[in-house]
Amino acid sequence: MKESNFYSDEFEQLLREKTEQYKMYPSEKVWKGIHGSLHTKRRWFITGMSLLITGILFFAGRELLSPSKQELVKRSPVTAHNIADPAAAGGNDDNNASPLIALAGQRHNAANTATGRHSAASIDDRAYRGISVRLSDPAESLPDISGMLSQVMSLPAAPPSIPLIAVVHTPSPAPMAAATSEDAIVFNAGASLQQGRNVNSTLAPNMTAAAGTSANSDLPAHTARANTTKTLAVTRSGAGSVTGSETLVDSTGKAASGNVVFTDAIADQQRINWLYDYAVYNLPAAAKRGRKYFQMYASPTVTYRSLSGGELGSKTLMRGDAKDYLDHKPGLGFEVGGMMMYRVTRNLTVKVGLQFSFTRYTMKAFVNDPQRVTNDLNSSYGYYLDSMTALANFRSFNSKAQINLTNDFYQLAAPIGFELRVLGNERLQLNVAATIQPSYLLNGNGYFLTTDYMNYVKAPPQYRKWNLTGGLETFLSYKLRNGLRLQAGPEFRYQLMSSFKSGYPIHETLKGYGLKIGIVKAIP
Amino acid sequence: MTEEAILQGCLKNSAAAQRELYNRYSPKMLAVCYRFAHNREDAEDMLQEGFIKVFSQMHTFQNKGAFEGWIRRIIVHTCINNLKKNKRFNESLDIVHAAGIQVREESVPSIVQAKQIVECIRILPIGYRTVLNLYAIEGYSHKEIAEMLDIEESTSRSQYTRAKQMLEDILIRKKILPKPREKAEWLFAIR
Repeated sequence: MKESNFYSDEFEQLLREKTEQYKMYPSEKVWKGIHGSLHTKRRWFITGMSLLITGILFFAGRELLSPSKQELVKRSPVTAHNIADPAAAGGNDDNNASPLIALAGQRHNAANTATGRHSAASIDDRAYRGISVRLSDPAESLPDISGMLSQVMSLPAAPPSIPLIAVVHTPSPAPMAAATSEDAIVFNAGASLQQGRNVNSTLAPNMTAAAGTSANSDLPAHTARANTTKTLAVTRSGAGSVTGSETLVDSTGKAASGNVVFTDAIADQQRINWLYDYAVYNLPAAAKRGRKYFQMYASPTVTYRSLSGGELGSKTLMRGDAKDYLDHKPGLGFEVGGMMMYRVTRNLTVKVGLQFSFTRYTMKAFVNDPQRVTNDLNSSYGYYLDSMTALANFRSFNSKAQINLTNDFYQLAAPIGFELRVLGNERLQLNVAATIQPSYLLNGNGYFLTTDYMNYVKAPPQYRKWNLTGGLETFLSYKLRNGLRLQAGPEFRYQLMSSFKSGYPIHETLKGYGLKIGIVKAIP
Repeated sequence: MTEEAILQGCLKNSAAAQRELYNRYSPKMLAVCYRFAHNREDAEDMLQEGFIKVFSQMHTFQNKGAFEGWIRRIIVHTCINNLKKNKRFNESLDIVHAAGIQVREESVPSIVQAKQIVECIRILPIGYRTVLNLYAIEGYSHKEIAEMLDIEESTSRSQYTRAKQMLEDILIRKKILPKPREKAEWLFAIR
């Protein structure tokens, strides 16, 4: 038995010795798996931030380098419909009203009563309906115009009344030739637009304004006898206009009698440009660009703590700085808030608001038996020392068991600052901003290091309730079609005063950075 | 890097400190895992899982005892959990395979002996091998083994007795261990 026991122990010892000598070297993939598992959060964070920044840069670059075209209207000349030779139609071309006439419509105007007063009912409005008005040039950066024009696209059932001005001229042997001798009817609709953009639409030279048929009955007798083709007062594009004193003669050389209304180009435009008139008088005025905005934002943040100090009166408590005795790591927090903004100039906006923030960081500590500790403080007088006694359960160096202490802070702040646009256009902008944030600490029951650097205690009276924080940020701003602006970009915050009151010799300042995401809406 | 510095670095989740710790202890720990595992790949999986637990639970190390012993306990527990999860306790012994391995009769260096002893241990059935590893090499008591493996303490004792006998037979067959008559002389000689 002895021998077997002896052998048994020897055998086991042999096994232990030999197996201890044996080593195996793992492949590299084992370490990669360990490392990847331990640092997953950082990898996801880096991956997510990289994708976000890459996406923002991609869209920003695309928009800045090749801005998307905003074609509010399409290129298309106004087409003439139902233009007919009044003679062929037997003089009755009610059913074939020129769109030009139809567009002009009628408007009662005492200043142009000689030939032009017609009731709306006398104009065949069948051609009026369903006509799509298209302007030739796109308005690229005129959101207000787009709103106006989009309303204009829906024509009212009844056309507005515009005085019908007919210039009567005697027929030539070839009326059509006479017609062709006239310049093409120019429909000038754009001269009075704010941007001074002219919109031209032409009819074929032979086309006549056939609505004069219905106008015939109201025209003075001589015009009816003249059996003329009647045209509207025209604007000759580029070739001058019919001036007021000019008298047209018929083929017999007799001056046409009766009332002939001569108009200049500007008056022509105003009369026949019903589009503009309608827009001005019937459509609501486009709202002016405001200067007031409201912003809402949220920002996940990471907060770091830095410690300094350790001097009490004229003596240093411990060797080295407080941070040399501590092991802490940043924590994740957030900010949410709203700001009122006022645009001072095109590029500068001032803002003021209200913000709620949550900050957190953790500290390594060690559990200890509760003990009373005395903190020496600087008194208000400077050279007299004060003290504070507290109960400490945790130590800053190795003791029973390690524990992570978490300090959470809730603050209310009133940021005041400005935003400056440094690059970009109306749609996409790059901005920088700076704020000063007076803040109020809503709670103050975190742990802090005692002046001997050995213990952690809670002493709410030592926390400074009012503090000041500076903030810097840069962000991209993108304007949506509905007028809202999206903003996103990094921000950095730095607490300017210590978290503790001035009497406490150890100074703690919090620094944080985060990604701020906001929405801005104009206030009418 | 001192062990204290490595510990502090690992607590701060420093990748450099973690790598240093891994480089120091992974060769031995892989050998531990290899004695429990079915093959090298399984052993590396156990090692990876074990070290992840080591780094995750670093803050629970209370400076009581050697750091290597603490790591080793985590690795062993990881191996046991892995075996229980994969239900590898029902494999049968393959003596034919063990008998087919040729061993040179001349004395071999100690390290080769170590490798061969480990390989012989791995020949044992998984249940025998586990109890043998835990009792004879890792130093757990039968009571602790019974708790870890969810078996009776008496079962642990009987398993160990059979495992030891079987291992001896394998070692003798492989001429790593001398025959019974020469045991005592041989044991003194190898020291």
